[in-house]
Amino acid sequence: MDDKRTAICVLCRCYGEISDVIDLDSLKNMLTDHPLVSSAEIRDCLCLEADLEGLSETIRQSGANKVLIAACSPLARGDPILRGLKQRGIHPADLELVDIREGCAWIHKDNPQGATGKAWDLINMGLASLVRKERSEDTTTLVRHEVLVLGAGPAGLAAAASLGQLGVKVHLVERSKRPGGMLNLISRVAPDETSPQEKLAPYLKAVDENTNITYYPSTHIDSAEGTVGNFAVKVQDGDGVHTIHAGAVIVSTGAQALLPQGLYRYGKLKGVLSAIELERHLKAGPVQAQRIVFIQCVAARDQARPYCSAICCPVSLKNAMALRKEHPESEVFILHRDIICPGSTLEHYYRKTMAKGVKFIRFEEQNPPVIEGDDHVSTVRVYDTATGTMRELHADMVVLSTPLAAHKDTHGLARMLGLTQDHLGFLEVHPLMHPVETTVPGIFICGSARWPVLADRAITQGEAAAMKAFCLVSGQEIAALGLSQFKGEKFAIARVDQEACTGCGNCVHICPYEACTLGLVDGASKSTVDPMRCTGCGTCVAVCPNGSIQLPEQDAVVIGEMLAQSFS
Amino acid sequence: MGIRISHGIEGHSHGEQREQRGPKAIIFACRWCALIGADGAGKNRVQLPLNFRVIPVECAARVEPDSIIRAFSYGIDGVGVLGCHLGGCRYHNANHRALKRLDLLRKLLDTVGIGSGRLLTSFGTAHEYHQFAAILGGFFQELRGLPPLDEWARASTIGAIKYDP
Repeated sequence: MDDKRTAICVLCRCYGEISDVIDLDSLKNMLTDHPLVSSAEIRDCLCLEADLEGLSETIRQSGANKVLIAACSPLARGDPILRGLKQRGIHPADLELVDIREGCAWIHKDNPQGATGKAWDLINMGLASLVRKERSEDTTTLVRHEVLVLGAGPAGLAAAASLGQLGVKVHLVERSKRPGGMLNLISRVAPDETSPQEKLAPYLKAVDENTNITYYPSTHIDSAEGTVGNFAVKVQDGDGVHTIHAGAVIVSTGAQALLPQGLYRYGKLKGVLSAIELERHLKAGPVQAQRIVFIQCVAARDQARPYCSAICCPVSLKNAMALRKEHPESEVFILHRDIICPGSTLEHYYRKTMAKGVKFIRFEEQNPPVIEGDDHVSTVRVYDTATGTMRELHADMVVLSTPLAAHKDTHGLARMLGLTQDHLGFLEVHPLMHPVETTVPGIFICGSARWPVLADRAITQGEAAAMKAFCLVSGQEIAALGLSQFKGEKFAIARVDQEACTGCGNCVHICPYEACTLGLVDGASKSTVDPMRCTGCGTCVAVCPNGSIQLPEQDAVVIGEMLAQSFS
Repeated sequence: MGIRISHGIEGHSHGEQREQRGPKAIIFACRWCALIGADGAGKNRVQLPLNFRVIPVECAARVEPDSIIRAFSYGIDGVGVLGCHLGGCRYHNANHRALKRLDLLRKLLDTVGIGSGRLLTSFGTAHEYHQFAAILGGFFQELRGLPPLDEWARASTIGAIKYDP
């Protein structure tokens, strides 16, 4: 057993905070006889630099290869103690911190004897973990200084232009013939009322002139492989299939305008248009209509689509003003459930629209407007909630404002790249304050692929995604453990015991990050973990039927041993 | 690192005086949520029942049902798995999966007679120190109403899972 007596235990008095409750001297005596412990000592305050320095000196001299520290919680001074020891050359796998202050002394002040017993158990649990745990192997990958941008709408163009300016090689892939995305379909851009050409001009110029940017029109994505730092995406154009290599991918594939099929007699009655059709008419030339009624929130903010598309209100305000401008004598009504125009610019825009004589009537979801007319729309009847009366509005055109919905091809793209979709089909960003990052490291989302946004916001998001991608590809190499999306390093990287793995695929299905994949190893199906994608959450560990996938930092044996020691 | 099934639980001696000390509980605490609550309870000097031990985990989804069953087989009366609120998991939707899995385990525990009352699962309810203290207090209240698991579990557990060291 002598070979196992390798751990040095250090108990912290915390100037009496711990030692007033817990009998550290008797713990020290018990530890000296412990089969795993070479020596034990008590110190006054480990979080002080002097004590820490003295401790690391002691560790060096004792030749112990494992260190157990029983002190305060990692959230208090524990983490700085561990950091200090790591800086002094002690490997993190050889360090264990046991919280006997917050987790024991302070919560069991009225029972010193019980607290001492509990501290003994906690230290034993810590020792069980310490002798067994390892640190996950870190791997690094070389980074390609190239970024692939999918979709040349305003977001994608802005991202490509920014990256090109920073000297990064950009591959800008667009499915259709023309860049510009949804801006190609509209007459003017809300809320500044510039023309789409004007809005896009600086970005198109950058794409044209910057030699860093390669533009691929009429190109589809076939498949995607690889991981952060080195993605290999197969794309197909008229000439055949090419492979684009990139260190990061920016997804700016946009959304699609929903058509109000089956609602408000759309498609059956002349004069009932969708908002996107009105845009087409406005783009073509003056619209011949005198009495126009907009109906907002069509197929939005209901049970099937319980979201606000956020762009339809500003768009309708813009179009209402354009129509009033063309025919100052015309009457324009906007029937809405709420006008949603957040921010000072859009609120100002709303007020400006009211001042221009556009009339607003609020209706309720359960009492929607009714469109009347035999072969052409003639009247819209609506219950006005402000006055409590039924209003009859003569109309020769009704515009149905439908939301942007997730593009129908989003699912295939998400499958290919390993991204996740929300319940409405939009691509999801990583939760908790990661506005453009996805759960896959190295893949970023911007624009309406994530959520309906106006052109300005799409451009902002494109530039944000470009900066995030730049931070990634501007380095030489990426270390897997450092790819944590929280502060510091990853807790662990899952490790598969290839001999024990039966290739059942449970981990592949459950991994929230699609880090596990099944592949053939010597003719047998085995799981492998992509260290770049793995975040060390351990979800796979819980579903592995034979424990062949484990977190080296806290494997099933560690937990088992801790359980066994928990009430000794 | 294979695992081996062994019969009986060697090397775990449980004192008979255990019964007098009241129920014992293991709390698997997600380090982004419940561990902060537990830490806060300490900072605020809340006096808690003595017989619980916290095992910090990176995510509640990491807690395998095996560990929970093993804890019961060691005579621990209650096991808690405390994680972040649903939708607030640091690891995407991992805790949704944990919830489903633990619900399944709950049924299993009822079937084998241990009883699902001995398994506490709670998501997003223990981040604040007073929440942690209240949850722990409630759990101990419940466990005190149940018979001790020691003798019964050790007698009836056939083939506790033992891992190769």
